[in-house]
Amino acid sequence: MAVIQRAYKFLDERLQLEPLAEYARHKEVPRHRYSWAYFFGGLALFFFIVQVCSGILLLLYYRPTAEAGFDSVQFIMTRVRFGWLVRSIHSWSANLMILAAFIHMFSVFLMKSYTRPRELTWWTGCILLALGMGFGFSGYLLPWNELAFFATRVGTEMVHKTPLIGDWLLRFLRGGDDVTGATLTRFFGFHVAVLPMVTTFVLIAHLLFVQRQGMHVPASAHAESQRRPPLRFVPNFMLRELLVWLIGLALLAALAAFFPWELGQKADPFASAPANIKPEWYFLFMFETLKLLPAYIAGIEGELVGLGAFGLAALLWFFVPVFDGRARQGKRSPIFTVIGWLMILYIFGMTALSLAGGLSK
Amino acid sequence: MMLMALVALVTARSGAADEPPASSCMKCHLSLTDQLQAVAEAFKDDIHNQPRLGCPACHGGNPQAEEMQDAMDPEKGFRGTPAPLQIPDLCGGCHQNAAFVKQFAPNLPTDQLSQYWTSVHGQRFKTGDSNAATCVSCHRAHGIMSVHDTRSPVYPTRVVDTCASCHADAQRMAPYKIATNQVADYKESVHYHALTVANDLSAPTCNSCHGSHGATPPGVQSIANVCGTCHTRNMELFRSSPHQEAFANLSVGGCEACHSNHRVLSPQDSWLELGDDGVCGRCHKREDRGGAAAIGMLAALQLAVHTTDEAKDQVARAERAGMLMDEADAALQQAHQEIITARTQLHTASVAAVAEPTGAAVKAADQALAGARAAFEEIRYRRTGLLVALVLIVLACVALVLVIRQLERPAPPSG
Repeated sequence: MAVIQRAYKFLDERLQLEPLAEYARHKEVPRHRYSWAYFFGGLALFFFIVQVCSGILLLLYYRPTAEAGFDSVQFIMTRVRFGWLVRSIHSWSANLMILAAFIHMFSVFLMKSYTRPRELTWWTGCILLALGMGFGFSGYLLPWNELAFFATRVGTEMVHKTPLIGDWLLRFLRGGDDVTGATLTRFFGFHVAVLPMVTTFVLIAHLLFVQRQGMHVPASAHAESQRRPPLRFVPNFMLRELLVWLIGLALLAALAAFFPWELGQKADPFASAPANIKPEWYFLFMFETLKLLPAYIAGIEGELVGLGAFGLAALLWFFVPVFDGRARQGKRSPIFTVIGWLMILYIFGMTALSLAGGLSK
Repeated sequence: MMLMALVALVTARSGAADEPPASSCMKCHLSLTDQLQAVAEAFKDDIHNQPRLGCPACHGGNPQAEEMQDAMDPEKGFRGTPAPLQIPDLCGGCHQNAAFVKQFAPNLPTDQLSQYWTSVHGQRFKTGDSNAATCVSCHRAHGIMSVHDTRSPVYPTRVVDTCASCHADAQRMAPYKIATNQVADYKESVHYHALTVANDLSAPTCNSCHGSHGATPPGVQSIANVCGTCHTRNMELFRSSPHQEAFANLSVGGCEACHSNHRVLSPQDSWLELGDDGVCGRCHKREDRGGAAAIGMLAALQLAVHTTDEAKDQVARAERAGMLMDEADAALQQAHQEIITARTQLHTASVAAVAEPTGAAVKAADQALAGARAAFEEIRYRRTGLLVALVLIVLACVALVLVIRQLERPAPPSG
C-alpha cells in the first residue's frame, strides 16, 4: 500500500491528480428500478477493449490479401497457440459489443436520457453504434471466406442505389468494379486504422460527456431516486460494473470454447453465390425488409425506397432530442416510448423472420 | 435518293447471302395441307435449307419456277420422292464428295456411306431388305439437324430413343431374332445415368460402342477394345491379368463377363464374393486360386473401406465440434483416392496389386483418425481450461459481491 501511495504522490505532484480524485470521490450514481440499464454502456466498452486486445494479437499473423487472407486466418486457428481462442473471442466480442450497444441505446431512448443537456452524449453514442456496425461490416470480409465475400458483394451493391453518388460510393468501398483483393485491403485499412482512430476520439468524447453530466434519471423513477440513497461511483458503482464485466467475460469464454467461430470455405470469386447469403445478424432486419419490398413502389425502385426510408428513420432517430419537446421539459413523452418499443419489435421481428428463413422464400 | 437506293441494295444483297433462296417449292407446299405441308414445315429447320442446297438437292426440279408444271418437270431434272432403296446413294452422292461438303461444313467427315456399307444395317440393305435402317431412319427425311442441335434425333441424349424406335420394337426385330431388351437395360446403366442425370455428354450411348454409320455389335475379341476406348487403364490391367486368356478361350467377352453389356451397373465390392451375390463366384470356388485371390482382394478392400469410413465419422464429429480438420480431410481424400486405385487394380486379379493401394488407404485413414483423436483431446483440453477459467471468474464474482456487501453494510449505531 505504501508503494501505491508513494506512486500516487509522485504522479499527483506532477499531474495535479487530486482535483480529479476529489471529483471521483464525490461522484454519485442515482438508484432506482432502472439502474441496471446503466451497466450496458460499460459492458459495450468492455467488449470493445477485448476487441482491441484480441485484434492486436490477430494482427501479428493476419495477411490482408486475397491470396493469403483465408490461409492466414486458418493458420491462426490451427497452428498458432491459442489462436483459435483469440479469433473466436474477437468475433464473439464484436457481436456481443453490438448487442450491448443496442441494449444501451434502446434503454437510453426509452428512459429519454437523450434530452437536454445530454444531446451530445446521445449523438456521439449513435455515431459510436454506426462505427461499431462499420467495424462489423469491414471485419466480416477479412477472413475472405465464401459467405463473407458474397455478403460483402451484396452489401456494397446496396450503396450503389444511393442517388447521385451511388456509383462513386460503390467504387470507393470496393476499390474497383467488383469485390476483389483491392476491396479486402481497403476494408482492412478501414478496420484497423480509420475506424479505430475515429472511434477512439468519439469514444473519449462520449465518456467525458457521461462523466461530466452524470447519470440521467427517467421521469417515472424520479421520486424513487429521491427516496433511495445514491451509490458512490468509486468504489460501489465501479465494483458492480466490474462484476458485470466479469459476467461478460465468462459468457465470452463459454461462447468461444463451446461455439468456436467457423471459418467456412475460401472465397472463390468465379464460383456461383451460395444459397442463403446473409449479412451479420445486426443488419438482418434491413436485409429482410429490402427482400420483402416489391421491385417498384410508385414507379421507384423498391430497394431505393427501402434504403431511403432507413436513411430517413436513422436521421429522425439521431435527432430525436430535438423532436421530443415534452422530455426536454422533464415531462413524460409516451409517443416516443411507443415509437421506441415499435422499433424494438420491428428489429426483433424482422431479424427472427430472416433467421427463420424469410417469408420471401 | 442515291444513298437510300445504295443502302437498300446492300441490305437486299446481304439478306440474300444469309437467308435461304426464295423457293417456289416452299411457298407452294406451305400452302398445302397434311403431309405435303408437313414436309415443308419440317424443312424450315433443316440444315440443308440454305443456298445451293434446298429442295432440288434431293428432289431435283426448278425452285425458281413459279408454275408447278415448270418447277416439277421431270424433263428438267425433277426426281420426285426418292425410293427407300435410293436413299444411301442419294445422301452419299453429296456426303462422300469431300470437295463439295467442304464448302458447307469443312470439318464434316465424308466416310458415312463407306461406313454404312460395313454396318449390319448396310449389309441387310444390300440384300434388298427395305426395313433395314438407312440415313433417314436416324436423321429424318426433312428437318435434318446437326448432331450438336439438341432437337436432333442423333443428339447424344436422344440417340438411345432413336435406336429404340426400331430396336425396342419386338415385332419389328422378330424376323432378325434380335433381343429388344438392350434399351431398357442401357437405361439402368451408369452410362445412361451419367449422360442424362449428370449431363455428361461424353458418356457413352449406343453409337459410342457400336459405331454410328458403321453400327455393328462388337465381337467377343473386340469388347475390351471398345470399353478400353474410355477405360484405358482398366483395359491395360485386364490384359495383364489371367482373365484375358481364360475369357478368350471360353469365347466370353472380356469386360462383359463381369459388367454385362448394356446394363452396366455401378460396380460393388461385394461382386468379389464367392456366394450367390458375387460375380467371382460364378466361375471360382473358395478352393481354387481365383477364389483365394477374390477373398484376398475383398478382405484388403473391406479393411481399407472400413477404416476410411470410421475415420470419416470421427473427422466429421470433430468438425461438428468446431475443429478445423484440413489435414485429416486431405488424408481422407488420399485414402479415398487409394481405394479408387485399388478398385481399378482389381482388373489385374492380383492380391498384391490390390493390397498396395489398400495399404496406403489404411495408412492415410489412420492418419485422419489420429488427427480426429488429437482434435478430441484438444477439445477436452479447451473445455477443462474453460471450466477452470469459469470457476476462477465465479470466485472473483463472489468475492466482489462480498466486498460490495461489506462496503454497503450499514454502520452500527454509535454508542
